[in-house]
Amino acid sequence: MIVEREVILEVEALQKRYANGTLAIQEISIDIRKGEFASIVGPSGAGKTTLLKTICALLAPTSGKVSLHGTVIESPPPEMILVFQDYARSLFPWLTVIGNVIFPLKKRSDISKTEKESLCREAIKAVGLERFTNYYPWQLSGGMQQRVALARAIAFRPEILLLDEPFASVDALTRADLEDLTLQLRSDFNITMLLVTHDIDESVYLSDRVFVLSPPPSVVVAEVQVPLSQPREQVRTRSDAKFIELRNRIHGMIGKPKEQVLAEDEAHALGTAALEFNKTTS
Amino acid sequence: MSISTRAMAAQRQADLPAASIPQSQRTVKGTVLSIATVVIALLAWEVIARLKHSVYVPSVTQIAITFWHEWFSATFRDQAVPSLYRMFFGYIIAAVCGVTVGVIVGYYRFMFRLLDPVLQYWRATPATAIIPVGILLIGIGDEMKILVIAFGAVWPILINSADGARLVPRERLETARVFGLTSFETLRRVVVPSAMPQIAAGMRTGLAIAFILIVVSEMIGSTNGIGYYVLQAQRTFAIPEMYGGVILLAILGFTLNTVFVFVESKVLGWHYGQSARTR
Amino acid sequence: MARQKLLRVNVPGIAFVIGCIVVFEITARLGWLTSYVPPPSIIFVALGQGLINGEISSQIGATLHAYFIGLALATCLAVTLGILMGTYQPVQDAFKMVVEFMRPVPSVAMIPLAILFLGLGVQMRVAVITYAAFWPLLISTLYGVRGIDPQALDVARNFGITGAEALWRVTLPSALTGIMTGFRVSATIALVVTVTTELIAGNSGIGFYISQMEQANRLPPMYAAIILTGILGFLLNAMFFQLDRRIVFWTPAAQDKPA
Repeated sequence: MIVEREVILEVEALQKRYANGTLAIQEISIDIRKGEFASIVGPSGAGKTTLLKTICALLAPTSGKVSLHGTVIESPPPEMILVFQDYARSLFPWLTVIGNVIFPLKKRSDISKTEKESLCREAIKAVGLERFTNYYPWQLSGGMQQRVALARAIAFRPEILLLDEPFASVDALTRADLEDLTLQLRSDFNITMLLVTHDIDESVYLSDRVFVLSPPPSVVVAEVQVPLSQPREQVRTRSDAKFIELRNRIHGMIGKPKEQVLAEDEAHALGTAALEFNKTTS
Repeated sequence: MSISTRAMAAQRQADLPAASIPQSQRTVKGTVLSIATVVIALLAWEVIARLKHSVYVPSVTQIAITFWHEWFSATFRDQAVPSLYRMFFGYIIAAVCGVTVGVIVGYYRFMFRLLDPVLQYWRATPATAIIPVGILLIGIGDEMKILVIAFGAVWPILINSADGARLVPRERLETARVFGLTSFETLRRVVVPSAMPQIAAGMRTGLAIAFILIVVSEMIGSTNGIGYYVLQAQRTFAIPEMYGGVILLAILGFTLNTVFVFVESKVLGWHYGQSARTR
Repeated sequence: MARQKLLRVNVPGIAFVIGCIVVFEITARLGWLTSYVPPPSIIFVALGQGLINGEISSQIGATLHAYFIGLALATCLAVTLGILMGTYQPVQDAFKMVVEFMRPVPSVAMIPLAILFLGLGVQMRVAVITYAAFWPLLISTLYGVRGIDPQALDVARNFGITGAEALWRVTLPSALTGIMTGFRVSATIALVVTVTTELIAGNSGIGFYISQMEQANRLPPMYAAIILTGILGFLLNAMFFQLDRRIVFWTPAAQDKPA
């Protein structure tokens, strides 16, 4: 059913220890496929931000490696852009919206100025902020500022977008809008998305695959496929029985160590099999 | 002083207002009251002057006439202009050195640790104490004054620039890295604009210091200049001229400050907009 | 955590300072520096001698004497007027223009005026110091008072605290952060002005001593006094910083916490 798309990002046996000695990430191995939307869910403190930063080489792993298209990454590659949770602190207050969006493109000598501008305007339009092109970030609401951050990333046309709890700092209604915007951007611009969040519903709603992290030192305790129909829709998808089942399953995994999760999963599978057996034989 | 408390102190410095008195509602009654106080003060002075007939307290009219006579003539060219250009040269040297070295020192952590004690010591030394050394080494010409002014004004500029460069939010630096900016590009395009409010605060203080230093250096070791003029007037009991000189200094100080605030508001419009928002 | 505490002693910084002094010493001894600049060792010896035999220490006393009196006067006047101006709009309106005109006059320009009226003694210096330290403190107090959370005063009114009592018990403590910042600026300026006034027209104090030594061509004590002025400034800064932390202990900065 699921088309086997090519693996573009490989995280192999990644381990990260902080400077003060704490082991944040014990061992994480993930493969990300082209065009997919993957989420990483975990409790607070599981090192999710650290994981994302290590993946895009802002931080160096203690051991293990990250490869993009087979090449090991040592410094932040232009194909992979990280969108921060704290938009207020990552946008530049001395630049307007378009100033911020065009900022990373300015150093690219391979694109003409007019092309850069059209890339930016396209990105700003895609996030719905054309009317605010010449506003300053601090004149906009929180949700709009996060859109600017998204536009800035999109204009750069990366292959992969890493999103670090991007909607945690906005209210629930804005969050729903931004979630749908992210899905729209993904299909419009054909970008692979890797999102990190503590919000299980969000992860199931948005993703094709969800990776569940244990508490630190983190490992991936489960990989959950999300075969819900596309395009996702806030009300319909979230009331789908399968959605509820998936989010409950993941909910049950949060906070528990890997062995326990595996054991419970097995028991659950046996139980379901038993039920199925009973049904067919009755 | 730990770095975080220095950071807070630096932030407080940057937030110190550019304008002198906070803007409140401008009522007619308020403005009348302001002017009234000034008028009353001037009248009181005039009354005392005429009553006491003291050499030390010439009447307001006498001071005004002398002022008009002195400063709208060759005296301005001979005394005020040298002061002004010495001050500007010294200030510009201080600004260029201070901002450049300051931003670099602030950005490269190790440099900051290395130079911190030295900077803290020299900024605490009153620059006027250096004037005798300056006179000893290079005499009492323009160079001495320009150098003394540069020496005195550079410290607040440097230290504030360093603090500004140090306090750039981590997310901005990381954003620059994510988009592949080199260290130098980050310094130029992210750190410097981020640090501008702090740099401006330093430059404002530096200007005030430059102004003080030109007057002092001319009082101690000079043959012309406004500082020299005022002190000389006192010594030769040319009292109205002395008051005239002080008033000129007031006007100059006021003008410099106003110009600075104006330029700053143009360059840092975004900062004031942002701070107003987050209040 | 223990490691972080140890690192607070800035080893590279101090090493750099020592390195500079050593380089200075060597170049001076080799004669590469002008004869007007003696090697640091000689300066430090002069410093030690001056402190021990009282030559320099008595002058420090005179300087600090004028300094603290001037600063205290300025503080009382500035804080009082600042609170009044910040609380009562008519007061602010009345003095607004006067402040705007007088503020930009550099304190040093007042020195000839002060000499005229008060001669060359301590009073003249204290007058100039008070004038210089007054303005930054006034402005800071004003802003401190205006920045007060209006709720604080409402709560006080609820409990029947009004008028002068409210000013003393609510307004003043709330404005204290702003006042302390201004105070530290004033304290720095006051030292500069003290030394400057002594340099230009003093009859005692470190500035006077520096000028005297220069005229007598006794260079090591002159440099010693200049270095000492820096140390004095440094110590006063540190002292007032600690004072700031302890008086305004409730702000995040005083507790070493991020805002």
